[in-house]
Amino acid sequence: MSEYILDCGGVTKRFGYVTALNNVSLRLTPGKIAGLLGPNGSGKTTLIKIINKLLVPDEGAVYINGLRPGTETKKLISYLPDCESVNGNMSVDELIGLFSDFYADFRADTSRAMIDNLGIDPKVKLKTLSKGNREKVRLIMAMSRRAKLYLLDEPIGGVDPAARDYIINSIITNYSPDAAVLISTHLIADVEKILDEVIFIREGSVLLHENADALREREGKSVDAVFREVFRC
Amino acid sequence: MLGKLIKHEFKATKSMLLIFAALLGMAAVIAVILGINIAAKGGDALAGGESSDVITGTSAMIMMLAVLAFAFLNIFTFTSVFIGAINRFRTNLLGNEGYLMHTLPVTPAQHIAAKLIPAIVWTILGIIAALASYAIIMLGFIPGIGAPLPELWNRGIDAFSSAGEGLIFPGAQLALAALELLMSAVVALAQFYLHIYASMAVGYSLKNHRAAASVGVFIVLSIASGLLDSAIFTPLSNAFDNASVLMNLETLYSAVCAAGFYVIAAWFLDRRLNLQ
Repeated sequence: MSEYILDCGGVTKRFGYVTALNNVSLRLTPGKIAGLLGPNGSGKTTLIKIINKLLVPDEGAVYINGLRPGTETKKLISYLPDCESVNGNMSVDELIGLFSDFYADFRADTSRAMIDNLGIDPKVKLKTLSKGNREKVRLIMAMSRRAKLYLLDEPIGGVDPAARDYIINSIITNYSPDAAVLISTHLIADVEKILDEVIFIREGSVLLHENADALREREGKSVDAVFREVFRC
Repeated sequence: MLGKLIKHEFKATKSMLLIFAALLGMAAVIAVILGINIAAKGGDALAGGESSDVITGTSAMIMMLAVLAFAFLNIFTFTSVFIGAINRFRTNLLGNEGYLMHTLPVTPAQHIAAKLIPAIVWTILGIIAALASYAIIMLGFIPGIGAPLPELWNRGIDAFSSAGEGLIFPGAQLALAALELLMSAVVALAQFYLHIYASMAVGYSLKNHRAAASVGVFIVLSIASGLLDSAIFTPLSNAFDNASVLMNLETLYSAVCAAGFYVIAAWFLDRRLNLQ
């Protein structure tokens, strides 16, 4: 059992001649919501994939609760990818069945209640739902787990402002208090209010990892304003 | 966990049953049309005549459409089984659905097994459905050829039993011959699917031209396993004149190849996964 739920040390990943991540080191402690903030192509998704063992780093090491990424760490991580990762021919009921079968920490009752609140018929196929509702269903699945680490990759990208509020509210009301949440996004203004820590990443390198309140106090402006300044084109 | 994966795989591919049912249903339609027309002509119309004399007019039109639909369903059944199994591996493990599947707490080796086992089961069921559909059509002829169903069955059993003789050792009986045949078929199917899975696992680890790369890897693996096969079995076939021993050695070789493809696919899914 480690003090850090996530501990990345010197992680480097190259795709051919392109270095997607360059010596990235960061640690997350339980009970914190951290924002992994950077423009498109900065390496956010690559880092999240490595933590999930969807990619293997060329150098460096990742530990989740003291364990190297593998089958055991997948039991601890709840992951929301930034793409439609569910077969559209599945119904919501079947998706709940899948999560119940594979994740011991999945709360089927919670997910059913949240689906019910949205007015979604759990019998219908996912492909018949609107894009916003599919996003919400995928988020509900991820947040209905009692995971140790939530990795949410662009959870509010591509949905309308009302859906963003629903998603953000779902995150803060459903994550386990002893868990850490890592939210990757470039839509800072929408998530800023819920962040405890901010991590700025550019061209595969971590520029800054700081407490959100301390950053705002030091710079005298919002995280969103600092982000715009740092990443100005 | 493997059992759960297989359960969900069967649920996701259960539409195969509809295709098999359609094939059998169309065969039944053909058998009924045949039966009705043969009975109307006096029951022994096929004994010395042409089939065109038996079915005429509107029945002939319906029969032609039914035969066309049956032929289409035969082709559709086998393309659905094979292409479906390959496409399922690609979309579920190497496409966007891979983001969900590869974050389930199971190993890549279990994922491959969970794709392979249902693929083999559906293929065998597809073959059984096809054979059953031909048998159903034959039922339509029974009044014409005058052979009772139990007699036909007994003739089939006798033929199969004698075909089994000498497969493993002289005097091998029906059950053993059937088991040997089934085992060879399962191993051959496993080798076929794992060959394709390994090729795709390698091809889709690249950034670009992934489908073309998969085809290239498939060809390379085919050549490699073919050359090895020749190197092993050319001298063996000169040394042994017992065909059944050679056949069993070939099955063993197929099993070794299948295991090799399995290891390649599992390693690439574990260490070189590249979801885009």
